[in-house]
Amino acid sequence: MRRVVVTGLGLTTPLGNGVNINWERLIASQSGIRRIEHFEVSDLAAQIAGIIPRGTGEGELDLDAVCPAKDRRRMDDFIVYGLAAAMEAVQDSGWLPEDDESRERTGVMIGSGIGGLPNIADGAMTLEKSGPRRISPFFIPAALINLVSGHVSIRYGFKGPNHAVVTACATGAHAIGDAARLIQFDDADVMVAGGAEAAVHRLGVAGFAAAKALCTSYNDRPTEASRPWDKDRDGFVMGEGAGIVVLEELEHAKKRGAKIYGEVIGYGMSGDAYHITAPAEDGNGAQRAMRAALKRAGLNPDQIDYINAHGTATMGDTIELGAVKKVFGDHAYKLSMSSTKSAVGHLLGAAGAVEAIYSLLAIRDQVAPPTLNLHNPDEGCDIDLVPLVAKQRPIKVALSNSFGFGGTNASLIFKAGP
Amino acid sequence: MLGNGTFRLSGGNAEALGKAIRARDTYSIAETSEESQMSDVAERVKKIVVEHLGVEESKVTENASFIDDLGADSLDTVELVMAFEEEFSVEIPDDAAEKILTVKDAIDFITKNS
Repeated sequence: MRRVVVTGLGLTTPLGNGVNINWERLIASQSGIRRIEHFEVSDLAAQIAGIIPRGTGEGELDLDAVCPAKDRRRMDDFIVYGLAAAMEAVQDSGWLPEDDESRERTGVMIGSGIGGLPNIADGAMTLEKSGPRRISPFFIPAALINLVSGHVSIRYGFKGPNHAVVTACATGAHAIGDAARLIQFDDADVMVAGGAEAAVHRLGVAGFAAAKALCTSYNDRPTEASRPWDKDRDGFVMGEGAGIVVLEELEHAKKRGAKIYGEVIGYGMSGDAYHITAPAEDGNGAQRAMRAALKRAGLNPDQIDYINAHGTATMGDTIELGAVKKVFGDHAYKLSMSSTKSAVGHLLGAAGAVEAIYSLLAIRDQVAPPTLNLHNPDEGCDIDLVPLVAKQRPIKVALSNSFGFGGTNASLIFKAGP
Repeated sequence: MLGNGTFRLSGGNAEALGKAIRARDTYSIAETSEESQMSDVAERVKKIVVEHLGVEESKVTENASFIDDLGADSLDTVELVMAFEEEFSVEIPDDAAEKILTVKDAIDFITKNS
């Protein structure tokens, strides 16, 4: 089977725009959660979110540097974020082929959980108030989920497989896993893969709040709101952003002397077949996803050093931890597991890709990023959850979990590059 | 910019501006007091073209074709027509819109019909 390595990384998250600033701030236990100020929140139960800092300063996302204002009318924010992260990842990989053959062997698979929700919400208002003649010709292409992949392919001339994953909060992980398989199956040599999300909008917040999924008790203390495994957690904090990786067939990467962040060695998937929003209480789906990934990687459970948990700061945290204990047995007490959602919030369809990147950086620097706000671990949360501060430790192999509404689960396993 | 409420507005009087905000917050329509006085159809048409297509003002001559000279695609032209309708409070039927290919076509139609 062809082997797949990661040769480029791109991030735009509430911690900042750019991989380096993200990692620096994450390791320094900083939070990207703040009060929502760009729309009315007084009647919303949740009034905070992980929001990308915008501007031209250090670590800020400069929208004009992504594309001109004229072109941004054609895309909702999730596409802009996806493009921003893809630009960084592609530049980082140095893979900018100009010949047809190379371009045809380079594909894109970037998903989103929700897509152009703000645009759809605004369009519905326009239709209601002003009628169909006032609907923009860009309404549909600005909202379609696969248009991140579309825009990235158009910008770089990548003419290989063009695909988009939609599996709610597991989207980013599925996109990376599926894209790696396209390379393994020789459908492409290089894939730009990941997830993007921009659903921090009145309608998005109202929807998740109605599903009783959001944190509502910390509106006045935003940086303390996302507290995975903590006794005082009360729901997840929405976040926005994108994580994109460049995946590449190993020999292809070696031949051109590419920098290799790590190898995708395991990918496992499962379905809960249980409930539309709640995870199966015995964590059965999560267990099977992790076991399938270990099997694909050809590893024993005791070879995993670090787990980047799904860990949303909901009741699901203890279910995931229970699943980890079942899969890893005694080794669960030797590995480290943390939730980086404590710093950036839950980036929904982008989360799995952002967390895959954090996992790769954990391997590179041999440091487990912290779980912020974990002051009083809930009952049974007795393994190393890297509370409050980052932890230096040997990390050869990392596993990243992502679970989505509908009962969809994905686990990715990375190891240091050959 | 779609979403997140960061809309830059330009053009038209206050009432039209209000209508534009309600109607389509995806537009860039700019408002300043001088601009709101601007009555010359040609100037207002050119201004809309410059803003929507992101082109240099000097390129927007009366004979310039939206698609051949100013880099518009078919979706841009649909949006341009909508912007003219908004700015001049005229309705441009689809069959007429199809014939508006140049800056001059737009100026002529608006002059005759508003």
